[in-house]
Amino acid sequence: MTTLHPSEQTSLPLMEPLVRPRKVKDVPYVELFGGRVQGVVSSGSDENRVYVSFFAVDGKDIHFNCSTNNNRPCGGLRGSPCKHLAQLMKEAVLQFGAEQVARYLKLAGDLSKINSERDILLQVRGGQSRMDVSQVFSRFLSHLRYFELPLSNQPIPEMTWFVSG
Amino acid sequence: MSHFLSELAAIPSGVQHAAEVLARLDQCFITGFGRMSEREVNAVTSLPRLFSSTPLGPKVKEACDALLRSEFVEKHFASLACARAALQGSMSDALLQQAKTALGRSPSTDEPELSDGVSPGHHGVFRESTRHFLMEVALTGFAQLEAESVYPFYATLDKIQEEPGLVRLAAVLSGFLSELLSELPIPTGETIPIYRWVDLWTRAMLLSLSAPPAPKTEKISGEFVPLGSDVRHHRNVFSVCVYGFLRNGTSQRFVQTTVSAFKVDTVIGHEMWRLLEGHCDKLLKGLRDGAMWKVADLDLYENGDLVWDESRVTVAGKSNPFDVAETALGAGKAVVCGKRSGLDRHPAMIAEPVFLSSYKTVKHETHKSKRASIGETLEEQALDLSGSKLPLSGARVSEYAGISLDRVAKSSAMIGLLRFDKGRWAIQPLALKQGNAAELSGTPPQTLKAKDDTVGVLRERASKLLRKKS
Repeated sequence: MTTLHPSEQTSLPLMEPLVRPRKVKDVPYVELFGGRVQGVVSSGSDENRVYVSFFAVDGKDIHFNCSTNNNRPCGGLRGSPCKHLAQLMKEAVLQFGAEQVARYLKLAGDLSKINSERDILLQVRGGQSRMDVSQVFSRFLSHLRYFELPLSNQPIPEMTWFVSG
Repeated sequence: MSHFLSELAAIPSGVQHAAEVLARLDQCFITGFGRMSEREVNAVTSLPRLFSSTPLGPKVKEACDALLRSEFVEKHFASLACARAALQGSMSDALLQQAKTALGRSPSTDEPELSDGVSPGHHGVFRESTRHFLMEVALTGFAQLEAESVYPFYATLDKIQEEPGLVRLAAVLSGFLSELLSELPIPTGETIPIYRWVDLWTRAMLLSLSAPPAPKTEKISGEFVPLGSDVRHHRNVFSVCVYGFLRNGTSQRFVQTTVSAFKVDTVIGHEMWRLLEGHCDKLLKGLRDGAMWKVADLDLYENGDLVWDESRVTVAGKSNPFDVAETALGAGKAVVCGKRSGLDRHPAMIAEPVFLSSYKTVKHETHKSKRASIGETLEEQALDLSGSKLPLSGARVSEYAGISLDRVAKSSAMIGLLRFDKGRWAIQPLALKQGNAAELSGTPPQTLKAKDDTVGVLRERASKLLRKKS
């Protein structure tokens, strides 16, 4: 009789929670997607305006961009990340953990020593990206769409497999 | 008299054999069917023999022969999913029989009556695209899979989530994909939760073949007495499954009812319950107050799923599940459960209700986790019932179910679900008796609105931005 590895016979391995709690008022959305740390930052002055921001890995560089959802460039962006980008990074670290964000951005060195958004921002050596932010904003809209989907009263036995997240 | 648990210590030999076959087959999903080496070729070559005398035999043979010729067509992967599910179905049957026999309950062998499922024509496109995506995943193999080849499928998944008739497919795909993306690319040497991932792959493939068969439905009235709830959630779905007795005159059946909502990754913890507010208020109130419900003409599927409908439910008086559990769920008591169809027959889906008392908790294994979750601390423990040990199924217990080791240790009796995973039986606590009070798992907190109201903030954003766009 062969001995099976635990992963070969469990449908429900014990998993650490995938996400940590964070407030969404200032940064309603942040994700690691498509090689980018990206998200949406509320405007400090106008509640109808949001800034769409991202950091993108490009070889050894990390480029970034920030503009409003109407594609107006952020005035704070002058060759280095603006305050929206700094806020975005802070929330990304809160939600995913500094080490995971650093790994996602393919930072060099001992990533277990990366503890804060500051440690990550210090390694951002790139310039303003030419990619426009519309696809990030459209991801945010898809994200919000989850709140508009109908509830279900039908059995979903497949949820038996999910107890964390 | 020996305790019924002693009969659960050894698992049926066929189950172990099937688990080994599955482990060999699942290895192909790590390597990828597109790049099989000798080990995977052997697994695929030997599979058809196992099915030769079954109705699936010809299909499995055709599929395996084709895969060995590198003839990669969707229908062969569908056959593979059916083969895997059939094997797990027979494991599930053998295990349930073992559990029922140990409990002195007569195993039900009746097949449920099913009719063909119906679904709108446009679902066909979504299903086809799902099958295609799943085939690509199987061809590539988890070890080689890259996030870039998963992203494009979200275009289809977004559409699937909008279809109430595809909610099961949406739920399993959303959970599977977000889990994959959080792990990809898999670092060399990293352990892959292979059995789980191929389970999810298989479920998704089965649900993408055609509309699931429609169960026989009857209208039922009576009292629904809750015994505790499973709180289930992943990044994009929150689902509550309430188990209980449906009493109608002298008859009493063990049933479950499920309500679910989509969510986003920042809605976690107790705030998830808020998603049900305004839609399932009677359900929430009943659970909070420890009450039962009077139900009138609710749909009850033959497999025991009660279809919740707020307009046909009233919150009734307090109920104490332990008043009925000891007589109704003790070993040797007949329990009327639903008839399970093919799609319900998987070892992970066994949930046999049982009443236990006179136990103490003992440590039986050690996990090494930096910050142990509630599930992990439970998983380390077993119930000791007159010398027989039954591990606690911590992996089944959500961090937000309200069950903790302390509560289990202090309880004098328990209503639990017998569960099978990791090649052994374990118990998932549903309700705990402390003094004369009953604590039910999955009880929502009295106040849900958090100080930092994630759901409120994001709903407001949604109403502004999504309306503006259209």
